[in-house]
Amino acid sequence: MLKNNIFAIRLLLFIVFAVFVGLFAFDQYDHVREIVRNLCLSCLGID
Amino acid sequence: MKSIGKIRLSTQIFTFILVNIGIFSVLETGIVCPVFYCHGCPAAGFACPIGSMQNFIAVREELRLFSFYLLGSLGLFAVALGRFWCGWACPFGTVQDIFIKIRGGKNIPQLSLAPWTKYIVLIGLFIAAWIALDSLFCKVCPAGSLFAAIPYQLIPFTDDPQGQSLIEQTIGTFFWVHVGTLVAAIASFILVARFWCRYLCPLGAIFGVFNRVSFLKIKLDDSKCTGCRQCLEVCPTRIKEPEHIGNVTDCIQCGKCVEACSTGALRISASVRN
Repeated sequence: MLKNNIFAIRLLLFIVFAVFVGLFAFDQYDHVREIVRNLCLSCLGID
Repeated sequence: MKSIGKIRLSTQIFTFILVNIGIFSVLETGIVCPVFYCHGCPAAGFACPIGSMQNFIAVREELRLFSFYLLGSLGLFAVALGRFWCGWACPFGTVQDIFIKIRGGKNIPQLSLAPWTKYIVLIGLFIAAWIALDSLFCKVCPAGSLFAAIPYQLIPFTDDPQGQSLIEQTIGTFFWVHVGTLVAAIASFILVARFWCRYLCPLGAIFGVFNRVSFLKIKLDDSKCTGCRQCLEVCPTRIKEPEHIGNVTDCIQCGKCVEACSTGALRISASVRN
């Protein structure tokens, strides 16, 4: 019973997260890429 | 099973090379890396999930307070491998493993703090980003110190015509904070194996929740276990019972227990069904 539940939870989580990526990657991928490209100098301790 | 350590070392080295593919700037991506590595590193090719999430919270651009793309990516990584990322791939974990090797002997006192301290760090850093409108955790993060702040001082920037480093003239307060947190972190690595992973890592806190349901995990066959507890002797995160291996949030799934198990009761198992 518990094993079946874990399988169901695992599958559900996988689908939910895959849907998140599928729906939002188009909108937010570039924003994240900009975060990588534009360094936060103050975070590096540079004034 | 002795080869597990070698395979693990190989995946750690491979990951370190992979996360640095941004040295070719065309390969700087918007993909989240499932390991604790600062995208402020001059060569970083992937985004730090913790740093990026703070950025979304701090910027609050167009009401995108929360990035479902980041959450989804991180969730997929977590459901797939749980904390295998910590034990087999994380560059900051690799650094801690190096210190375990350096310090050698086993007669070093072990702390026994509550494993939920990392959840306080996780929640606290998001609250701090919300209040300060800034990625505050990044300013004290020891991984940022090691992989970004200090390398930036070492790599000569020759943007200005005189070839002087622009950076060295502008070292700010937070650089010294970075140095301080890194020194404190290294001291903790020497005193307590995988201290960061066990008590402070916010990414490990997220992955730890998924240990129980991840596709790949370490499993115990009760019928083969003799109760010798050799697996617990070698565990860097000091898991207390064999039944907890692979399931509790502290377990980084490094596989040292699998290597140590003489009866084959522990194994790394990839399974969708159970």
